[in-house]
Amino acid sequence: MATHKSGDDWLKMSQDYWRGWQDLTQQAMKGIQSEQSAAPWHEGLEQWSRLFRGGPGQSDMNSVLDQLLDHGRGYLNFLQQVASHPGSFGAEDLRAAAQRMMEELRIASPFAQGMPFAGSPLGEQFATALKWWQESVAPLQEQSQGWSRMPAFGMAREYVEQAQALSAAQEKLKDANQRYGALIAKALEGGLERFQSKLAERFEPGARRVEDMRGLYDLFIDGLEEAYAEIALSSEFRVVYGDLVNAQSDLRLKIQRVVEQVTGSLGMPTRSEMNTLESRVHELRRAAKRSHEHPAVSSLKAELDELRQELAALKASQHGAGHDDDELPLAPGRAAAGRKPAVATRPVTSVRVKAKAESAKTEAAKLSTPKATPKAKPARASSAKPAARAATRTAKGK
Amino acid sequence: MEAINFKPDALVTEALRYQSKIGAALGTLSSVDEVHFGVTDKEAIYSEDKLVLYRFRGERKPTSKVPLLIVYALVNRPYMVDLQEDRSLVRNLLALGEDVYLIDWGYPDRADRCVNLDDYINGYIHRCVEAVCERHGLDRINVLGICQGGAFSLCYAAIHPDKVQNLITMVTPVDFHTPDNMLSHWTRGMDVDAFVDSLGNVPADLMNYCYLTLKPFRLNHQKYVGLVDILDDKLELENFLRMEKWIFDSPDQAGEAFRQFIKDFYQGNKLVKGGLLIGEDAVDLKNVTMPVLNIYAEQDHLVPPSASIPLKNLVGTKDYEVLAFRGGHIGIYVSSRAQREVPGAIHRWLGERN
Repeated sequence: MATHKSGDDWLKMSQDYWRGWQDLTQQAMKGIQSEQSAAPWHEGLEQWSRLFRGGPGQSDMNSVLDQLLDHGRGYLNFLQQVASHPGSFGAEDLRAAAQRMMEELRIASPFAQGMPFAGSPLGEQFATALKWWQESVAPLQEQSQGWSRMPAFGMAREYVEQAQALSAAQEKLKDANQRYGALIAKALEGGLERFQSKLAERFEPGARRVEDMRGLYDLFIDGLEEAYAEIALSSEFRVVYGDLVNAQSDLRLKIQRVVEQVTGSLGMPTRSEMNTLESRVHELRRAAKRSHEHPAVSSLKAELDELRQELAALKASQHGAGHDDDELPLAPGRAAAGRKPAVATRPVTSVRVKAKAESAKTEAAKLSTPKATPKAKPARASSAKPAARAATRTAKGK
Repeated sequence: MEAINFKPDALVTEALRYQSKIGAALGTLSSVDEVHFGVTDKEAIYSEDKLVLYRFRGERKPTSKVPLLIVYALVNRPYMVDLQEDRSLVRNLLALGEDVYLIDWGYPDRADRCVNLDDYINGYIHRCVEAVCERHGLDRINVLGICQGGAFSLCYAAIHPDKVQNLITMVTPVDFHTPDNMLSHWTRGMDVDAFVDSLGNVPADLMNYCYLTLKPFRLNHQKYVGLVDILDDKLELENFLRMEKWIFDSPDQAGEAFRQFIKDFYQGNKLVKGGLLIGEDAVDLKNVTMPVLNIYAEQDHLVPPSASIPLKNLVGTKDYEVLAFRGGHIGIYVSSRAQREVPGAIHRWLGERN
């Protein structure tokens, strides 16, 4: 059961906390200040951080430490805020504590800058591009207010229009960012309301009470998530989120175009050129794979295998008849040179082999002119397909 | 009546407990071993571009005559199915006698920007299936598609029904337009052409950002506050770090494949509405006539159950079974319950049909 506390009690609690903290750390370090009742509770984390922070070669460890402590700070601030209300654990007091915690969460959350991808490497890249724009182009814009809507003409008209479009894209992004930020703020505010109503439910007779501080924190997070989900699934959010992502894409494309012009004029390869080459290489590879897996190629491969076997059989039989390997069948040049062709001893086989060779030539000719086989199934015709699959094919190229 | 059942003094106790856990953690963190994953022996039997097809080696020879090919999603690394010794779908399937293969898609880079869904489904997956078939002298094999890999497997099975003997889909989105599908909701206002054109490939960080903002306060804050409870337990901490590694060790997405997946699946919902083309092949789920086992997770926030369940009325098979797993999108691979329930269910179902 909660008890009422006075301001003196609060001071005593903080002193208890720091005394406890001193006990915790006395084995690890000496000289912690004793008069710390007014210091934030997360100051203890900072002391852990100073104590355990590794040297320059231990950046991974420091990074883990920072992440851990960042989240700890928020939680400890929440505890301290709840404890700092000397009156009681009334719903209004807890709401005030939650309000402070929400600010912590807002800072720690991905919405920190009101823009998706902030804090990520992508966000940093985008921020760099934006900074470049703001430093190099935006001042021009400020010098002549309203220029972005003026018609352009003369030699430089294309470039003026491009700069105007860039300026408009930046404005559009700013607007989309604001609308997104407003919805996130609404979700956070809604989270507070939910938290309050969840607490109110616990005041009802027979309701399950909050058993510990973590339970209270979890209740707060539940409230925030519920309110956020409601906003995030709304049709308004869909529009605002889409607008924001699209505004980012649009500005990124426009900045890329300017960068391309600059780098192109310096004789450097551009992303567009790379894209074209990538597409062409990809199409070539696809065509090569299609050819490789074309039914005609499979058929040719099978025939080639068969021919090899027959050739080996012929060789073997000629060995048996006392022929030399140099006098193999189907060597027209040699036959023309007056030697007795081996085919004479195997007339039937020879005819079959020739027929297959002709067939192979025909298949090869078909392959070299793909339009001649419009119904051929590229890439996967090694096995017969069931009727069901054939029925699903579209008329396109089939 | 008071809503709170603890005294204000408890705040001090909790703060000190929290601090002491953090202090213990700093010692534990510096002694934690390098996190390993992908524990089961395997051999590469086929590779192409960045893809590698693996066959896992169990401690005993497989008893199943028809091998099982796992087709994982593009958006995360497939070692989730073989994370650690006591959390491995693969290991458990091998122990039950299954012969397990897995496609590892690798990490696409800018050179893979143009790889599209036709390349993935009719190209890579098909050639992997052929490689397994050839190795076993079979015409068809069993396929287990997971998440996005499940959607790919459905397409593959619809286009090549003669190559799939039994199809298992796990946490697979089918209906992308259900009201609780947050990811789908967000993508529907996006100009995906401008998005992909401006990015080339879609960076993994951006994908992770989107996943984290599905439940921003739980995933960015509460999870790490809760972490303190296990910070003084080296083993538990290693398990946590292994999971963190998997979550953030994500490949970039090939631009063209992403473009088509968002347009046709998330925005167009064409698996349900029809009209889906993979290359030149139309996908009609009525052609999925082989037996189908559909496993979904009841608390899945990425692929809500409502997105998976409609598969029943879309496929052409008369042999359809559904398994509801009590857990989430990740718990279905790594939770203790999953180890007990999922591999056994798959093995039993396959055994009745192979």
